[in-house]
Amino acid sequence: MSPQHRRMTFYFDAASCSGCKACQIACKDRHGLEVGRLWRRVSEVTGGGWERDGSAWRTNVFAYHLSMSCNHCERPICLEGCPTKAITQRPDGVVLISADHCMGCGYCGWVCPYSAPQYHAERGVMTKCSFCAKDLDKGLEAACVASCPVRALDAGSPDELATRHSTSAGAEGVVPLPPSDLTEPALLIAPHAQAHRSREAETELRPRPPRGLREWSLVVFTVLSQTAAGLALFAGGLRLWLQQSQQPRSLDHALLPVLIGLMIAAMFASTLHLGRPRNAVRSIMNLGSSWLSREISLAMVLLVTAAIAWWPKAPESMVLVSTWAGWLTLAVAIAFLAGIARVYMQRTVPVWNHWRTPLTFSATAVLLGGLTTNATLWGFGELSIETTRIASLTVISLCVVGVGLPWCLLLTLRRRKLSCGPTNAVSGGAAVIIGLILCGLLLARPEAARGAAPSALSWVALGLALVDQLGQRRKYYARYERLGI
Amino acid sequence: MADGWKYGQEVILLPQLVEPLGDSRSDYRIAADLAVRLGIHEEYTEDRDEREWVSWIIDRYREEWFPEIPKLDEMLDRNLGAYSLPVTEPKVALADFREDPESHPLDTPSGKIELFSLTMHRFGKLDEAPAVPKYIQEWESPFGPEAERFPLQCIANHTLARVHSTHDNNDWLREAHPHRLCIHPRDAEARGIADSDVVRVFNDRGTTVVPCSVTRRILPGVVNLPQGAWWTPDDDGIDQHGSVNVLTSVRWTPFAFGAALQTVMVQVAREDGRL
Repeated sequence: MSPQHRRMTFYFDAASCSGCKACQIACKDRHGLEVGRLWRRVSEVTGGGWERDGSAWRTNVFAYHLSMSCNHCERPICLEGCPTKAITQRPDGVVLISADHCMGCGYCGWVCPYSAPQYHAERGVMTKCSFCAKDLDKGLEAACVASCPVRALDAGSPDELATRHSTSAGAEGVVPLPPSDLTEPALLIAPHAQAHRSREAETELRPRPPRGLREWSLVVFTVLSQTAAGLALFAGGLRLWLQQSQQPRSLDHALLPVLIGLMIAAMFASTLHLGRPRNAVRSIMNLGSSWLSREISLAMVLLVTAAIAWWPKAPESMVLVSTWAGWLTLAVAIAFLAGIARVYMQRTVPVWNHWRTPLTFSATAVLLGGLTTNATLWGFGELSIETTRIASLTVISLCVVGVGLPWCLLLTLRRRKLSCGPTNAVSGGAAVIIGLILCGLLLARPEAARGAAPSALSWVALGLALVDQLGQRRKYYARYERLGI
Repeated sequence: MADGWKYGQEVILLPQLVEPLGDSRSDYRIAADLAVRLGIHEEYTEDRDEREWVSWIIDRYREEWFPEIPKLDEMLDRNLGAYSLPVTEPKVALADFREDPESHPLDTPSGKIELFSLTMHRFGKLDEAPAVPKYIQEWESPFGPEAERFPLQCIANHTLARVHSTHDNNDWLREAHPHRLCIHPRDAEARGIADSDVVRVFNDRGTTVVPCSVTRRILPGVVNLPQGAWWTPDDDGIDQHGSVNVLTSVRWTPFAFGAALQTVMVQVAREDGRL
């Protein structure tokens, strides 16, 4: 028999379901789930309306229920994204999470359009419907199926289900389920008689789907790691440029510790949202399909290449190696920025799966990376004043252009009502203005560069921009809204 | 074991599933043990235990009602939870009377269907219990002066989460069917109330605080607060758990002396006081 034929599939008859939630309770009972965790969940869809007719009201309100658990998808987006390879799929299609391998990052819960993976606070891991796999293997039914008093739930291979039920309908087009091709759920639904109306009318869903994420540790992680990538780009470029003249080394002793410090701080912050940090070492296990694994790996590669390229005490004979490592650092920094954007550009989260995400992230990298490079130059650099002035002018100009252009673009799109979403993705206006003042100061009065003014201005600009970007990133998470139920 | 509700055409067997836990006893055991203390054990039990009583009752059923019903042992062996007689003819109300009213008079003073009831007329509360069936305005209604201060009709359905007040303290059931005041979007909007807001429901008799569910499943002008929620007063005596009992009246219905639990007018406001 082909795997397709013995794939375990849920069948749900929305026309028969009374919304009693016995399945939900049976599941909690079978698996000992505390309040808050619902591996199977019954939702209510309501639509229609009321119209006044003299002193009477006329109504065409309709409501139906959907009992939903993990749908053990053919293309499980949770499994694809899981960085620790804690999620596996059996030959019969059952998708399982291993508590031993999970690090409790919650990413599977962000992307699943059925709210299947749910956090177990006490154990610090993600958990979800196991299709009662242990019972299944003994030839028993899943608890939810066995408990349904109106036999609205069933499970089995598609062939078995076809012999027992007249419908062979999939889950496509049943409001509010997401398009089936996103994950190809193993789910057959006999739709409610009124279900077609919910495709035209406005409907309410209860409980409401999740919106907004409050992940302060990831706000810090993304902003700091993008700053580090931006620093690698600016400082790396600057260094390769200086190499043609005389004094590349005078930068290294300051830049390398700043880069390493930023990236380590970022990574440390990211571990603070993990339920089981000791499994964090597994986070690079899934390079094959998880952008999270790739992003973390690229961050580490960036540290290694930058360390080789910028090692202050490298012997003269290693110049060729450091030059190549320098070019490689630039490439890895760009790859990291692309990777971190792909983590958020998931097909089930349209608000993030948009060009705004890479634009936002690279604008952060340009703004904060540039200002960090500039502040390091003035604060710790040992270049001649003249070189520092030219380098600083270049960096600040690139910064202003790199942030200003996308900002103008977004503003234009917003004026023409083309941009469907947030336009505050690129800001840092105050920092850019201070940067412009700094530019003007340096261009108009070269002797001003000798005092403490440029250094102080640089740090103020960096501080302002950092605060601004952390605030913007918090809003980016708050806008989270995904497809599905 | 129990008779069904299908005109007694069904016997339902409830076999024992678990042994009593600890020192707990079945209802019958409790009564029988009390009978020992009262010195009437033999008269009460007639020397039968629970199983023997069930068996005895099935034998009586066989003699009087269900000649084909199997013995208890056979029912248990066959896992026969219910025994029913087939329904062969439709049940028609007052069929005899309709066939021949003269020889099958109804149980009324005149023996006929009475549109005007002399009994009700003599009962003498024509405002509240008229002698002919007709619409009367309720004590509290959207059409009376009380509607100016309390414009919403409050009904109190039986919710899926509880059997009256039983199981209100079950957190799984509270999670499955949260206790909410249902209010129509039109009425909610007029009061600045959004879905899931905590609201105050009140009238002259009392106030209760409860989260609301803004839903078009309820008629405009009507709110629903499911009955049976446990009264949970705060320090000021204001119920914080949506107990509808603080809103209902103790006034008896005129004829049956029951509680008029759906005749309640209320006002709803956001708990922060904004109306």
